[in-house]
Amino acid sequence: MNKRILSKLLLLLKFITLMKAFLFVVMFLFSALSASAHEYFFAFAEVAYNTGKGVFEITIEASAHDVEDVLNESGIEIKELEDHYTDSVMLGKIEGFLNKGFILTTGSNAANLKLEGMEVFANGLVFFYLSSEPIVLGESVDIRFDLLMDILPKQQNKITLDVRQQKYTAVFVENKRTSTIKFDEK
Amino acid sequence: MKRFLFSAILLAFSPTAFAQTKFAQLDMELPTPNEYRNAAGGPGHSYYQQKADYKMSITLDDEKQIVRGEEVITYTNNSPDVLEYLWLQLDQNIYKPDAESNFIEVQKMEDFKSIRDVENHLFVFEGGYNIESVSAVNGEKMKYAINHTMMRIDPAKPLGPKQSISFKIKWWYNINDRMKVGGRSGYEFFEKEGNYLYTIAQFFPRMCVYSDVEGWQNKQYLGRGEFALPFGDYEVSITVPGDHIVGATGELQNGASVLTAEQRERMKKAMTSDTPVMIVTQAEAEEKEKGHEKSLKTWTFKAKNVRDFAFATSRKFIWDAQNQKVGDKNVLCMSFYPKEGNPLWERYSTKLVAHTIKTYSKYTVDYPYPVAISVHTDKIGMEYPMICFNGGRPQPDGTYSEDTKYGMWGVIIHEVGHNFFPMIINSDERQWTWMDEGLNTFVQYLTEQEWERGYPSRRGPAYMITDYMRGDKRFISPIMTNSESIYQFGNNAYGKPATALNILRETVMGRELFDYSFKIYCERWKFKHPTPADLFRTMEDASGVDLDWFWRGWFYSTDYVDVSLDYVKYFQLNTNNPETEKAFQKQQDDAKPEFIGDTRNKESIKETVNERDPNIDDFYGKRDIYAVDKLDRKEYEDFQAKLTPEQKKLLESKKHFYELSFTDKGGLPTPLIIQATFEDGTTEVIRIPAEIWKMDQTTVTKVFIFDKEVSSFQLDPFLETADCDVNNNAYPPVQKPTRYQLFEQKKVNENPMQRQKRLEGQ
Repeated sequence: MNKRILSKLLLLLKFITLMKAFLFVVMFLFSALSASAHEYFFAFAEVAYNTGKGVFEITIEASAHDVEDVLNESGIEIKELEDHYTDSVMLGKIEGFLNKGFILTTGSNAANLKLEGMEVFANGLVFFYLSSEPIVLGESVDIRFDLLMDILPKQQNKITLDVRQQKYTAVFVENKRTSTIKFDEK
Repeated sequence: MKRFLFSAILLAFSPTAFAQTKFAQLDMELPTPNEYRNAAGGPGHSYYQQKADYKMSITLDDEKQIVRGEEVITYTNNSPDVLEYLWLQLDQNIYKPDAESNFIEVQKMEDFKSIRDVENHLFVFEGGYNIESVSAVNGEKMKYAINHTMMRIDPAKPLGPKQSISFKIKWWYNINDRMKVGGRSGYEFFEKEGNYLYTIAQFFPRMCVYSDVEGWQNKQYLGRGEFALPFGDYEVSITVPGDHIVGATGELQNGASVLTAEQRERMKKAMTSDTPVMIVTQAEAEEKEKGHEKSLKTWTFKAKNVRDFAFATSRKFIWDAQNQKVGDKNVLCMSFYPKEGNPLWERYSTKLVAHTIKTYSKYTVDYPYPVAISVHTDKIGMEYPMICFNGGRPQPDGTYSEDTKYGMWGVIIHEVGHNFFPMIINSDERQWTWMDEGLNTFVQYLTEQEWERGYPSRRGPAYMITDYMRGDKRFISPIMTNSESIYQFGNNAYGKPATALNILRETVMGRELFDYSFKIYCERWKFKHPTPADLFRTMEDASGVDLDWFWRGWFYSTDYVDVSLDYVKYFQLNTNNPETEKAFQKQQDDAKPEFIGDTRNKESIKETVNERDPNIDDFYGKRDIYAVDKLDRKEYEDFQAKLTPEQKKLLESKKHFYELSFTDKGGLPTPLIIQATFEDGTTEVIRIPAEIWKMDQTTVTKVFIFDKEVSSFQLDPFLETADCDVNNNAYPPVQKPTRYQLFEQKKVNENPMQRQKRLEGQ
């Protein structure tokens, strides 16, 4: 067990045992973003279930600079996303990052998402293209979509899910990071 | 399929209360017009506004990062009211550890997952004002009370109409490290060389607006809703280290004592140059970075008729300037930036400033101030009168990505554009973020498109807002929401109103009517305090277009545009000519698919009974239903005899009739733009006003008559209505590929520069 993990556990223990004291401390927190001029952006996921292949095909759209900032804050050092189109090591890290912030579960199976590529546009938006391994579609899908929210608390995300020609949408905010979409019977 | 159209007039009455609501006038929502604000959307005959003039002495402590100030405010009451108290804004108090904004942040244990999270949350910055004194100009102390970010001053006697009062405030505060604490202003520390770059704003106690709408606008500053400020004249002296360069709101009054002879000579050249002239070069700035001068210099600025004052100061500043003519006035456009901003800033910043004030002047009002300044900061964009702080920083090696370049261009245009909204057309930002951000983003889009053809604007075009507006409406607010309560600031207050104005301009009103009305609004409210009702009313009144449905749908609701083209029915006129119609009927019947049993029976049944026995078939069996007989011809002649020559011509015209049915799935009324593509490949576009939904908000049908046969119909062919689902817009139906499918077709695996290198290597 390394020192970092130990300190985390100790911290957790203190949180549990000293709740009253902790709450008192919270009263005097300073909110770093309280006077920020940041506009707060959406991330959009366009998801289609490809019935032929039995996979989810996904495009996640976000602000490139927001993603770069959050990757850096999360310990993944990166300057410009577009410098890494062919960098398999960095793409692997980004894939891991995306899989933490965007999780699809259907029929009790979580879809393991593979980053197929990404594209940064001149207007500052980045598209991440992902696909899942073949997965049997259940009657509903549970979605966790809190990408970027840990660092940017005003971030909002939205999914548009296309299943059997039917479109479903759901919005995610810091205090509501998950959603379940039930499919219409066909 | 051909169907026959028999002349008929169909009157459809299917009104619903719902539909009436969508098109109801905004009488209940808008304030009653009065002597201060009239029903046409302009200032009323008794319109008034207050005036606040400032004389300030400011000192920057570069060692401790403290700003100290002493200000004399002269406040003139132009209202008809007696004011028992005066309210001032203390924005810096948002950095007090006990600021209300800290307490209202919603938090969860998830926010404390790591030591770093806890460290960040527990970090305390000792910010906020230290008010040393509030006194009359004769030195007599005045009574005051501080309510978080607001300060009430109680004059010795109430301030009557047309009366003025002068008083003095002395204060200081610790400047926030913008990179750690955040904020619209503050400092950035360059650790390697030990230098600071200060962008100082909201730094002095400022008068609140007192108006016919709000009384005192003294809503607390919670961080989002920006400012409401009265106009006035400023004279500000800023004392900084002697090697600093200062850029500020207003005109420099003492260039002779703070600039070198060479800098003054360069400035003289810049004043008549239409390209940037370097006042301080990068080499000169880099030389100054090495030393830290102990002596001080005082820079003095004057600004007339502005609502605020801000400045930037650093020894790191490179400085360039050029002239831009607006009407018959010269405007000195300038940029201040550290070497970290280059090569982007030297190449583009000042040119962008000049382009922005020129283009905005065309669409709004002539830029009235003598200077316009862009200052480089990292990450943020923030605006003040005549000066703004803008991000867009290249990598340390001087390279930059395309989106960094466009990001820098966009933020400069946007923040310089704020000179017009809200610095000149001075809406209440504390109440309505969209009134400055939305209108500014709209003109930003127009300005970007005039900077570069096909500029990749992030906001403005209708199709770009659809991801935000479609579907799930939870956590989406109407545009008409107070600044502090908005979900999704960027799309709500910037993107959606900018899109709405674009749709008004391109689709609902047309460019001529829109541009005229929008300019009228800007002219009416320049140097005044407009409200949403003033904009809504002016746009209608000056254009003669009833827009209540549009404001209601786009600004008061979270409905979205999604119209589906459900079916197309095809008809042709019945000519009654038996030769034509019976031949056509035969052609249609022959073309019908044959039942498989009939096909097989032709082979398996060698001969039927009636084929074998001629006595079986009677009149009905022998009749040729496609044959034309005398009676048919006689009836046709009689029919022809009754027709006028015009009716005969119409009957022979062979027109094609199409009935199209549309369903409004998103709930937001919209014009219908339909493109018909004919069999010969030509096209025709039909534009139907949104009022088609007036009596039935759910489903409408429309008949189109063409000379040529149509092969396909496309709804919203130019992506101008923000239709959130374009997969139901075509007949025959067309499924648009998803973004993923498009990606699979092209498979991007290198950026444009990498591709160029590969090309050069071959």
